[in-house]
Amino acid sequence: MHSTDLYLAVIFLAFTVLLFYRTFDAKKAQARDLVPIALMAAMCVVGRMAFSIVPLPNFKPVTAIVMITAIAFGGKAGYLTGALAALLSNFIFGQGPWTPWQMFAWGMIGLLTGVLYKLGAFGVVGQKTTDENGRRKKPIRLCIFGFFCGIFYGWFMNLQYIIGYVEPINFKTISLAYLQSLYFDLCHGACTAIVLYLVAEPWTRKLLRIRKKFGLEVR
Amino acid sequence: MNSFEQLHPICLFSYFVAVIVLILLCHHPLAMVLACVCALFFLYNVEGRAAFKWCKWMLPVVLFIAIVNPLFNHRGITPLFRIGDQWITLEALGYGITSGLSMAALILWFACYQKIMTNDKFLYLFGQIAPSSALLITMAWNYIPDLTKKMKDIQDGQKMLEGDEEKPFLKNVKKALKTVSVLLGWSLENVVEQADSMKARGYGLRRRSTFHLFRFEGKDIIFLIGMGSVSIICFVLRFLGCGTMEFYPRMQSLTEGRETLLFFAFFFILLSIPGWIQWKEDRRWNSYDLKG
Repeated sequence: MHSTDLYLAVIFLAFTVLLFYRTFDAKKAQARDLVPIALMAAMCVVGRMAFSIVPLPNFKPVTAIVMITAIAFGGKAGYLTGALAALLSNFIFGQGPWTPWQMFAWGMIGLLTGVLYKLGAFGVVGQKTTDENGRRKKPIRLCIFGFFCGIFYGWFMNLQYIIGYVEPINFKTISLAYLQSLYFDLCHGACTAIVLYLVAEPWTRKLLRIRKKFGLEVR
Repeated sequence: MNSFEQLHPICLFSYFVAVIVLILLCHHPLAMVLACVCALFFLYNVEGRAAFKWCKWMLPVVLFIAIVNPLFNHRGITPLFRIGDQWITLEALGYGITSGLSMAALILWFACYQKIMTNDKFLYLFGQIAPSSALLITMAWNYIPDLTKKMKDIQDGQKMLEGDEEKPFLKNVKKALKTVSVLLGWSLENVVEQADSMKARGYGLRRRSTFHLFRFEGKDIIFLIGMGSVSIICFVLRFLGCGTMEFYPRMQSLTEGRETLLFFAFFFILLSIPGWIQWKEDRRWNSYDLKG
């Protein structure tokens, strides 16, 4: 149906706004309560600029940074960071009806990562001790999950295009849309996995240290 | 001297909401053409010839969507020609073109929105309703230039240490990650201290006043009434069934019924309001030129 993508966008937006409102405004949050989310969302945007030296399309660390935030500060913080990162980067790259979709997609990746981490799906990240060579074990399961998150992000955003602009929706049109974006999605997934493999452990340690030292919590 | 821009943020925001929602509700090639043309007229008034660079990358988008639909969709009863054993139908082509145009219209109107509704206006509107969330967005928005500047410093430092010759792929990734790692470590404590310092100076004790130059004046009321009535007429006509088109199985004619023409007239008036205000103001400004 025409403009179904918009109704969904409105629902996503309402959900996100409500979550922000309940987390911060209803509790009259202080500036320091906002710090972890504001900083990590800004890091996503700036990280995207740092990665512009890598000559691959869609090679951006946003998903990985959102996931690391979710592990260090919990699933809710992950959702808020992802949503804010999408909003901020679209201030730069252009807002549109896709903004609520991106906010929801990145937010959900954060939320899922946080919940799964709490359930112990990725083992312990950020608290490992070094072995005799002074190295820490890499969180392989997290990397695999990150790879799929990167791909699913692209697939979710394809849905917005398909629901909004393809008529009629059948197997052929859908597979065409997904084939077109496959390369970009694979790049995104690979980037997320590589970034997580290299820095998930040290960055989580940094964030956990700060969280403990200054008593930062996202409730 | 843009007088549309100087209207109160509430007027501007409600105007853009009305226009964008109407564009989203309509699915009609003529309406979309109107929307695109008016957006371009408006952008031309704001930024001059640079507006036409939008056309350069908008055209491929429209063409792409217009072509993809008939290639994979064979509904409709008016065959045009065949590629291989697939008939291309007029209806599918029409639907594709309309979809492409509506995508272009949306992108163009969001571009107008971004030119006019700057961040300070947005935060002025919503900072009162949701002060903490507004503070969150402001803080994060403020970190971006700050972090970018720090990132530049880090990259310069790394260049001195390691040189900046071309590196293989994985090395590049590691280099970028190292930059972001250093940046993270550098800023983490800084921003917490910044937040604590805000608290120590009394931020959030009482309702905060913001600096702004927005005043709700007579012209804002006139604008709101005029714009409001035109857009309400548009919405009513839209719900009476104007401004949309059936494509399958047979395409309707472009202008079916007298109400449809009425709808287009009002839709055009609504879309071209900022353009006219702008144009009038430019004329007046130029008429003060002594030489002229």
